[in-house]
Amino acid sequence: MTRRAVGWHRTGLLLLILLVWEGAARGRWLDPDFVSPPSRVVLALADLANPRILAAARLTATEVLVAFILAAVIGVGGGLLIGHSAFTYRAVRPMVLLLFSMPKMVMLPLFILFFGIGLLSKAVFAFSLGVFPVLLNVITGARMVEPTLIAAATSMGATRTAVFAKVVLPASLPAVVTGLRVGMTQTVLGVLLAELYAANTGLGYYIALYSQTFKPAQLFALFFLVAAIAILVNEVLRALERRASRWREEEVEAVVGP
Amino acid sequence: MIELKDVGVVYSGEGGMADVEALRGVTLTVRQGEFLALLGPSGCGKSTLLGLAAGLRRPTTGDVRVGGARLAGPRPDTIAVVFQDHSLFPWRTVVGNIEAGLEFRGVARAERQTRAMHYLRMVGLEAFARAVPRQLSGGMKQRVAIARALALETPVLLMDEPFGALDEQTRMVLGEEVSQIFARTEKTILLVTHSLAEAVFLADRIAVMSGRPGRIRETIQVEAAHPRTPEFMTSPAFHTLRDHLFRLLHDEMRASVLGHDRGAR
Repeated sequence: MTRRAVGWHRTGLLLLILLVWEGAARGRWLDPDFVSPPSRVVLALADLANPRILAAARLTATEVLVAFILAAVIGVGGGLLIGHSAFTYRAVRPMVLLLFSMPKMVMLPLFILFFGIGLLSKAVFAFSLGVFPVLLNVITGARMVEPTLIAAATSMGATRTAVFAKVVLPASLPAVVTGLRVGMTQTVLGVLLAELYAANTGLGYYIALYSQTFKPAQLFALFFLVAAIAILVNEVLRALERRASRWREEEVEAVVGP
Repeated sequence: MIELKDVGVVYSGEGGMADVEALRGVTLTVRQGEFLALLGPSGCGKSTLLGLAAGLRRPTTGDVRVGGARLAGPRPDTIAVVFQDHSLFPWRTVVGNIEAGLEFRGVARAERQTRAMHYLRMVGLEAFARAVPRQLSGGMKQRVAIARALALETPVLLMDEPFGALDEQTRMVLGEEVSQIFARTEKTILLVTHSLAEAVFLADRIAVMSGRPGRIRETIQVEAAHPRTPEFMTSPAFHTLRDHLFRLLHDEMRASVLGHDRGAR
């Protein structure tokens, strides 16, 4: 089958789903308190462009950014340090894995108790989710740097810092970008979860509000907006990932997550 | 130039494994301007010995000196190393790889580039300057690795089975190239190899090692001027030497391949 035919079938299927949904919602087979027809969801998208929602979106974006930068800096730096030396790998990695296996969700009330219901608690919680994919991918990346590359650099006079910056970091770069991508999805998830749980603004708060006040059109519109942004960011990072691993001879799977 | 005096190396066993004695009482001198081949069965500690001479490894006992001074670490001003598996940086271009060593040594960018291109021409790969390693064949990668070591312009060159992973024909061609480079650059070269023919073809002197723990069993002189040509490989002198080495090593190689314990003899 040609690519074009595949594309047509895909579009057709999507349209069919939308049509059935529209019909089901209009024909009252679905409770209008819970589900809006897609045409009304599209109209509600325009509704979202009001100052309160925009301010909420800005806050959510800031929270994601703060959490992601923290996760990136600590994840990449810590990951390189832990993965580079056999000693720290054996000493520290089990602890990282232990923390990673802990369900962070149960910590959320604690974080809110500690850091309030503002930006800080969201950022810290999202960080606690987002840092692990970065950390674990980078640890593995740094661990798998060919020892002979390090020996070669050392024999050519590379200092410890140069070995790190010019061998360990570039060799781990594909793992770094993979970790960042997976970490980003986790960070977004963390911020939205925390906002759903306890907040007075932010996109997660409005998702909770719209569902509790039975405004399915706005709820679905917001849901699609958040999903679209998340997919966009993920695709940008995936493109970066392909660029970063162009020199690789074989594809390497992400250690954690999709 | 390089002196190993009564050197021993013991790897301490990890996780309940017994200690491994890789080298015992090795005394060996590589004279200035000499091409010395270190020949031995696999696992006899040849690469360990080269690691010692490169300053990448410390001896458990004994003394390693280069140019009279005790070796405390890598000496990129004096010693360049070509590794077994080319060890090129896969994310750098060919010319970028050759520049890497100069970069670590703090050579200015402009000079780095001219020097890198000069040595790339020497190994005949100037057309591939902008390629990345994965686009090259195994033999080409190893030539880049040789160019990278040459670009450091050190008096000493250490080569750890540089052609070990290559096919017979490529080995022969690269062997001739190395012989020519050696004749042209007056370097001191220490070559680790398990190939009898390679050792005879390239070296002025061959140190034959015994199996684990590695010891120097005999050193043999090869009298032929550099650069050596394929005709040398078909000469009676070549075959006499090769046969002698074969007899010396045959039992060792059997023991190392079949896993017999030499210590019991």
